[in-house]
Amino acid sequence: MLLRSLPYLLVLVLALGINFFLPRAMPGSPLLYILGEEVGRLSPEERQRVLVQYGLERPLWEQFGLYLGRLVRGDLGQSFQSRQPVLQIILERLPWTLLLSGTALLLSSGLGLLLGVLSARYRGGLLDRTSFVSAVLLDAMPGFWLGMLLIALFAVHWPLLPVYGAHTAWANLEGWAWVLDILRHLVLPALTLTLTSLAGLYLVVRYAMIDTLHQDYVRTARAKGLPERQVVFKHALRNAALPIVTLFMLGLGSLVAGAVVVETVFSYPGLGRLLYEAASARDFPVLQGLLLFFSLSVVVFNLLAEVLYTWLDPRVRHAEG
Amino acid sequence: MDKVNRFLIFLLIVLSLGRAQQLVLAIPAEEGFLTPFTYVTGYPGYNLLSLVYDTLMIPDINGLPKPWLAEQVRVTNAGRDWTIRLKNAQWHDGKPLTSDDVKFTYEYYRRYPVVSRFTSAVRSISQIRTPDARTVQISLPRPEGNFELSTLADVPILPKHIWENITDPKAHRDSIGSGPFKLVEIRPGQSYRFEANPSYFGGTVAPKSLVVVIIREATATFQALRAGQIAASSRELLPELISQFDNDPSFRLLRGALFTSNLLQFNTTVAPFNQPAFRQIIAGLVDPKAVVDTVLLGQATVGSPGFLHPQSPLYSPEAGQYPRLSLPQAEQRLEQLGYRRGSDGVRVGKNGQRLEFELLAPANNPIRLRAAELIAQQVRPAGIVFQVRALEPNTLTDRVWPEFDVSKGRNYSLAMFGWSAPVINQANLRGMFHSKPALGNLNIGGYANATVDSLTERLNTTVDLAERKLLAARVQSLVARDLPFLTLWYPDATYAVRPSVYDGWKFQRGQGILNKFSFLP
Repeated sequence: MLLRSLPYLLVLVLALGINFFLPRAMPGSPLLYILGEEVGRLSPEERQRVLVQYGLERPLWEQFGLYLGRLVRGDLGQSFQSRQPVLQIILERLPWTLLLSGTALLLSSGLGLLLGVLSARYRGGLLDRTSFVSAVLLDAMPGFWLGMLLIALFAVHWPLLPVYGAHTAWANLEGWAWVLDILRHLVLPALTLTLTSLAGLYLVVRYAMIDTLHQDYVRTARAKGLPERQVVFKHALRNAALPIVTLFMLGLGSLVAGAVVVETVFSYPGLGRLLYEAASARDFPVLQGLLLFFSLSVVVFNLLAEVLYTWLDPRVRHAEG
Repeated sequence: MDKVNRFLIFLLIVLSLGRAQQLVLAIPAEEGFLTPFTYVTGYPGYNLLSLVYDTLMIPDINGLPKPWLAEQVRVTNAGRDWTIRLKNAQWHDGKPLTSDDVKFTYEYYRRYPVVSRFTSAVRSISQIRTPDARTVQISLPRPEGNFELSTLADVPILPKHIWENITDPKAHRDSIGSGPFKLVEIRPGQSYRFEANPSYFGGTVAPKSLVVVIIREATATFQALRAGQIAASSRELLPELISQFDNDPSFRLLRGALFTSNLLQFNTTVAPFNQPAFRQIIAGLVDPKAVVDTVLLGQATVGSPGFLHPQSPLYSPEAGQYPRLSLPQAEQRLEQLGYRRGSDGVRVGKNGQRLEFELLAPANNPIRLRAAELIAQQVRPAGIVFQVRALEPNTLTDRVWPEFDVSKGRNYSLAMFGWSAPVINQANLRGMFHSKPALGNLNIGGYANATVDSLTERLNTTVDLAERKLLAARVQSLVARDLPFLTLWYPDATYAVRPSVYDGWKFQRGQGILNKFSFLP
């Protein structure tokens, strides 16, 4: 296990470096956002003092060393803009991202799996044809556009659901009313994110299942007189699971990217929007914190995928021993 | 069906707007903790800030300075000494606002010069005295012509008893001011909630409760407005939406001029843009009115060649209009300057310089981007090529204004650029046109004209308005002749509000509807 996690540690160290240097390679400076247009009125000495205050005047390597030193002590630094601890900013927004992306992930993977299996089992039928065409269409649809379409329909034409935010900004709701309020705000962004990330998984599941359902052992299982449900879900799906798991784990990354767009359209206060805001403001500490968080998540999910692989595929397990 | 729809809308408005006397307003981005050290944008950030804090003077509805926290402002010693008598005002926590607070504030912004926008406004003050609790005497080493607008009407007064022990002003969270609204709650990245200040010295504040929500996307903002989920927005309507909102009886439209400027900026330190004659040819080919009609659907004022907006107090009609050139006239002038057409139709100078340039435009600003493309079309027939290049805004600023320091040079030929309203409102002509980087800190094109230098220096030390107008008129005439940049347009803003929720809005000239006067009788 230790041997296996070594490459992950290496990836993490590499990611730390990239997360630090990449944002700083962008042209432009955080000064404009720290000071606004006043920045043009400062004397060169005053500008230098701002840089000193934010530790931006030191050579990059030195800044990187300081950053690593603080990181080891669990200190992610302070936002340039709000002077708040980066960790606190991320933790404030994390629950919303978990709620939105988690909901979308559950819905899109559940639906994608179910529809993919059914499509493959009843290939060429009405369900297969409609879901296949819809999937291809949805896959080509930009999240931004779909979100706007849903807003126009379900918030403006039929004024049923909120256009922006994660909960009502001024109501001090409690108990079920509070839960209901949060759910109402979740519907449109979660639906947008689900629909835009559903297609990829559905298509992979469908192809993998079509492939396995034609294998000899499936024919054997049917010939043995096993119930169809057992054949499809126990024999075929388990063998089709490997590519599906791989794609599912890869999909987590694209979910974050999709969340940036959806959170922007619906003004949802999650990490995706924070990433966009920090990038435009060149708020390096927040950017680094976020990218570190995303890198960590990807690494953890990959580790999970490996563990799942061994459980799913005896061949991987035995190759070890 | 229509009845059902209407009932649903009614129900939703009732539900979403809950208590009466509550106004929900949208802004596009977060504005920090809304203290003078943490708000982010000049508009709408500063405007929101001014709902919580007060200044000694205030730009009135026409943009002219008038006393605000001050009962009376007297200027003596040819513009060097300012005596300010304060009104009886209170902080949100009930403590009285005194001359000590004013003195403390002006000195505090100097003590922490590098984290506030108000540093340069108080930098030149040599002494502040407080003979009694309601009198402040400010002395300047030199007369300052614009001291009222750029300092007295701009610098928010802080409560000394809160700030005197704060050493990291940017990290301080609670926003106690003296303004018409108290800030009662911040949800980071989501919303701000204000309550009316019942004992405001400026009059009765309405509405009782103001909620400001953050909606990033313009389209989503206007959809929320249509759905009744917000009652107003700091964003002006997109030109193509105006008629739609105009035809809807549940909205009232407020129109007026903004002093935001949109420029075609030349780098006047590189050939051929270092020749006024060449810049005049470009000005003769570019048609700002066509840009306004096509790109902004007529919702803008065509720029004045002298830079100042026709409605701004120091505007001079002598700046005139841009002289148009017919294509043959422009071609003739280009020939005279030695630019002949090459084999591909693009003109080439005697020194071999092809008239092909990159025109930088901000990728996040579709209007400036489209305007750039239109301008490129307008100059093309004369054999001049502008290649439009869309850049991320921060990157563009870095090319045009490296390190925000004009002495660091510049890395562009042409760019779409612009300044926020205060530059015109405060008639900061020295900053825009002076050739010394220390004085012309906004002179991003490297323009140099000795007469303009001395005129703008005099403008900055002249207090008398009639004399200021004369000096500003001469500067505008020279700028209109030299054309260091082309002022293409100033947007005419149209705001849509739901009068059923709140209808006290007032349009402040050059600034829009988000101002103190909108919430006072």
